[in-house]
Amino acid sequence: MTAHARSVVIGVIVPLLIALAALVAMVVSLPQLPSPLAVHWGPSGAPDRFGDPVGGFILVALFGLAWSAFAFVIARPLAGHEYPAFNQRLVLAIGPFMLTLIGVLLAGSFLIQRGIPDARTGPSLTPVLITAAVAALVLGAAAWFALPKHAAPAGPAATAPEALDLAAGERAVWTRHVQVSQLMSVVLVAILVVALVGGGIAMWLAAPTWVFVLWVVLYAVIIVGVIGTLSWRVTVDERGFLARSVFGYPRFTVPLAEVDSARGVSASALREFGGYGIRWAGTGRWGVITRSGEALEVKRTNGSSVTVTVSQAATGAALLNSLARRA
Amino acid sequence: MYLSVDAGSATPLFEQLVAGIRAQVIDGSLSQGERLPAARELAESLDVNVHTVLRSYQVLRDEGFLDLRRGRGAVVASRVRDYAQLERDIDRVVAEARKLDLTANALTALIRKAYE
Repeated sequence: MTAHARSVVIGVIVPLLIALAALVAMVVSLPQLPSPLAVHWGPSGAPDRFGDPVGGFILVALFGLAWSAFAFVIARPLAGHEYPAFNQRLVLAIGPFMLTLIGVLLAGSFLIQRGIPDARTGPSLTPVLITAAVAALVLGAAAWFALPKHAAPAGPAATAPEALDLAAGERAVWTRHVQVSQLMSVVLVAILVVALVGGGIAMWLAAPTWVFVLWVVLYAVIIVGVIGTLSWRVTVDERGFLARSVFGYPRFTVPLAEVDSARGVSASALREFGGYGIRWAGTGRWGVITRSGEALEVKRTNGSSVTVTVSQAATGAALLNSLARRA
Repeated sequence: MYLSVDAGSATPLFEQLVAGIRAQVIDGSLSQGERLPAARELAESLDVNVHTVLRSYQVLRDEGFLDLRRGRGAVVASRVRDYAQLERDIDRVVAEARKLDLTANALTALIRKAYE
């Protein structure tokens, strides 16, 4: 089986099958369920809200479909390649983890209520929560190891680093503003909102209130973090290399003394870096990726590197090399 | 955007900045709507006074190459034209002037006179 086929089976089809299994378990237990059904449990573990089972079905089905569609898109650039990038492998392994978590939680909440005349006297959800978490971790880990091993793809062949002629007293700067395309921003924000709403509903329905609050707080942090990585200023000057997000942080700096070499390269967002924003491509290779294409790669003397997608990167690389040589 | 300045040159620093940015707008390497760095950042990068950078940004705004907006900083103006024909003409004029052994100063003086 090719790496792509294996990734699709584990990252796309397995999550769908898990969702399907959960739905089947839920349907089978339907005739024995009390009405109304406990749909929410308080911090003590006792049920505190009651309703009908429709919400549970919609949640599992929608999450299964939405995640599989997302994973399918993530796995696509793998076609014709032998190895996924680290980020691709991680995202694909999260599918079985997340669907197991949600599936076991929802199906479990149905199964424990079978044959109970009144949902208010129903059992605690805590054992289901623990089972779901353990099962999700086990399946997530299994998926990780079953997926093709990741490897940092070899970068483009090295060419001799270019340099500019700088006069002794000449001071120079190369600077550009980069940001993700508008379409990409819209897609990113849409994914975040869907995940926020979907996950929020799941937490609200099935988890104690503090988990829901934690989720919202975490998500607020994630949204601010993501927006901070959409727009960057890249600068090469006497101080060295600086890529700074629109908020000032996060930032990547390489002082002139730590510059080994710089060059213009062609970077593939999904293939090499597994996505957009701040990316880690393994073995000390960091990226600030707003698109695929022309990019400036700065190698540090310690062997790590930063790659920023930016046009006219060759000029920036040449200036950085010249300044580093002069320093 | 690539800029270099030489403090030892007879040309004032702000004019060096103006010439560098203008040339890049004209040759298209700085395109419409592109954001320039904040004056303070550029001043730090080139180790020049921030007022020098601000002055060059203002000159370029007056020439119609930049829009200066409070809060958004300097942006390459949307009314920037197509300078390709002019660039070809300049190449021809310079080649002709060289043939006639005219110095750059002499040619500049002729062009200035033609404007008046």
